[in-house]
Amino acid sequence: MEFEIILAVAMFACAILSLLAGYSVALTLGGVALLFALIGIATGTFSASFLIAFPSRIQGGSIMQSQTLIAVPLFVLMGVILERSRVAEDLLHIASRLLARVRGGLGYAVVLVGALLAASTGIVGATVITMTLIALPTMLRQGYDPKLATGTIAASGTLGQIIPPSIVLILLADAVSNAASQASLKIGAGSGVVSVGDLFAGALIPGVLLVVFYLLYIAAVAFFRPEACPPVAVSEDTAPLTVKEVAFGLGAPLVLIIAVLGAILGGVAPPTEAAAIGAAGAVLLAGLRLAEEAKSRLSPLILAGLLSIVAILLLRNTMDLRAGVETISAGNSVGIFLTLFASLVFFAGLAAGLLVLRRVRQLLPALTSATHITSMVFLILIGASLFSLVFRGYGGDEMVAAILHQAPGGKWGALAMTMLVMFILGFFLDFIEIVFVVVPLVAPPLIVLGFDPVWLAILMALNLQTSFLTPPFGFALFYLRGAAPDEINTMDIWRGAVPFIGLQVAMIILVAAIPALATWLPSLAAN
Amino acid sequence: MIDPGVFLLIGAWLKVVGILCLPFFLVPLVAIAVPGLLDGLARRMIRVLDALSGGALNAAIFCALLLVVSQLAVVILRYAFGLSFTWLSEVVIYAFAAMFMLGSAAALRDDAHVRVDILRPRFGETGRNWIELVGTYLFLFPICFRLITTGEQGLSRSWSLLEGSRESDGLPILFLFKTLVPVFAVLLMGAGLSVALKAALRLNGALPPADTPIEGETGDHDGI
Repeated sequence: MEFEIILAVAMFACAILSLLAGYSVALTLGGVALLFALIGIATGTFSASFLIAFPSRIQGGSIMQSQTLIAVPLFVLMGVILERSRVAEDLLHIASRLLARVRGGLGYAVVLVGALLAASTGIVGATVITMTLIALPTMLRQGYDPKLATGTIAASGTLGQIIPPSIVLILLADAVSNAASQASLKIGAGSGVVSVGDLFAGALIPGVLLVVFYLLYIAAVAFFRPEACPPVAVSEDTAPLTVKEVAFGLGAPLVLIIAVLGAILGGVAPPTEAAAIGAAGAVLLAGLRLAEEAKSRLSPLILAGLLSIVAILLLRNTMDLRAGVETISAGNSVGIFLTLFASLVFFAGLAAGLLVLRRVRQLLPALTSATHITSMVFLILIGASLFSLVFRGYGGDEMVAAILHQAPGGKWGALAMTMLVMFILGFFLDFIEIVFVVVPLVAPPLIVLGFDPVWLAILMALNLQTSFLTPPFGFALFYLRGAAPDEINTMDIWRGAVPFIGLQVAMIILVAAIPALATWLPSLAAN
Repeated sequence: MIDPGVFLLIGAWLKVVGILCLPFFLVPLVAIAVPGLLDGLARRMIRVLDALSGGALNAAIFCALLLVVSQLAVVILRYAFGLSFTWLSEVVIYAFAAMFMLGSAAALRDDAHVRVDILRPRFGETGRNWIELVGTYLFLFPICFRLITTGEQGLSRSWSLLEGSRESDGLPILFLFKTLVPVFAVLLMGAGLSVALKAALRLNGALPPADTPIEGETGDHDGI
């Protein structure tokens, strides 16, 4: 083996060992890469020109000027605000109240809410922690089998990664799209464009199917082992839920998420724009939800802000509002005026929502938390891009491609090998790091071998999601362990996850066997 | 129009200031080697550096709000009126980039960056502090230093031209956008120095031990 290849392999091994020390992942990746680059420059095996490109890489279209990734902070903001304003908590509360009388009802509620909260999660296991804190004590008090309760919560918490609009899917779309265009350059065919919308569309059917699988599993447990998930005994003096509570607590977030997702999948708005609407919608909902608590009289204004969105939509679709055309008829200019007014009301409502959030002292924590999460994601992107820069400089990417091309069992062997490696890496690396470090290395050769990029991305996402559920290292289980009461046995948590891992593996096999599950919707959207 | 030469002169002076600041990076090491000698200075430095990260965080938070508002304006203008402005799209991009370039330092200060925490709880308080110190000197400082030095040439060219957008209706501040990279590196070095100082003071007993590693964010939540 050549010296460069040895260094590339040593760099990878070194990075993994250093990561285990527990220093910031982003800086470890970048730092190890830089040290190896310096070793290479000293021994004359690495060209210093690779490092000179680093600042411009950061400034360029892949990080600081990335159009795709603008959606990330906006979705993070939407999720954080929904969480801080307790809209998310209400959702779980109402769903479990509605389903309480059914056997296994709390389990269904956790799965459904985990699926709905997808937008606010997918990063640090925030859903797992929230749901553990809110739902687990209730489930245990009502006599749920701890294994079933913890398994359901951990599995539902990971749903946020596969169900759009998830943040990791955006990052994955970015990485796979780069990989696909590299691959199409190499084989000189194919358009090589994978958009965030494609990946969202591709993930929808597998994601919904997973939810159905989870629900069916709980239903089966409720049927065969009724004692594991008894119906909840609601005490007589608890006031029944009012229609308003249900409509607002359950309906509003649902409408928001469906609207955002629908806009992206329907091709009305690119993900970035839909994400901005989502963030604004979250602020308005949070403002309405908290207005009473804040003793604020701004709720009519916030409501008007929500209505103005509808007004703009109506006006836009009934009149020609384009301001750039030569002649504007009188009717249309009235329409333009009305729309301008509606936009002003919208921004006023947004400001009112922010003011309400400020009044209950949640605005600054929410914005700080969103900034922290965004900085965390992008620092990893910066560290990982230095890592890939150096790894590439040593010819590591060609080595990976060569290994995959010579894998036993042809392209399926290569796929299986990749999946296994990612699964194991998933034990100690988060989704984001794997997307930024591993996907750029393995995806181009796999696409050259003839796999569909969207299908490949969905398989990777499902695979990682499974990895996060797998004991003893699964991330979701760690978060659950941290937030669960001490009387819960760790072995119970592990055993509770096993049936859900089975469901996950079944889903992976299903998508692998029937690629249309992942590729059919994107192909519809393309036409 | 100001002569670009002025900015280059300021840049040259900033470089001198930077070089003069280098001895401060030895303070954590001295604090470990000779406990008690520089503890007062170290505490003061931590306060100043954390305030610096905090200031950058406030700017980042402002950019987050600006990002939402400007992106919404882009959406409404495009969707309803069929209008698009390059300068507005550039506001979106600049706010987006500034949000994380300025926010990273505070995220380091507040320990919001992801770590691999499989083995971390087993290292004990002392081990974790040493890892923090070694990581800062071995990884963080070299990366940032490299970013600052490698970007110097391109940046001085950008400032000497007062480089603006490539589009005619774009914002004329591309040189400021490019300056975000060294600013990011300097802020991150400051936050890293503060982290190293804290670790050093904990190792020599001048600061109480840190809390056990946090497992994700746990807010205050009630039961159902």
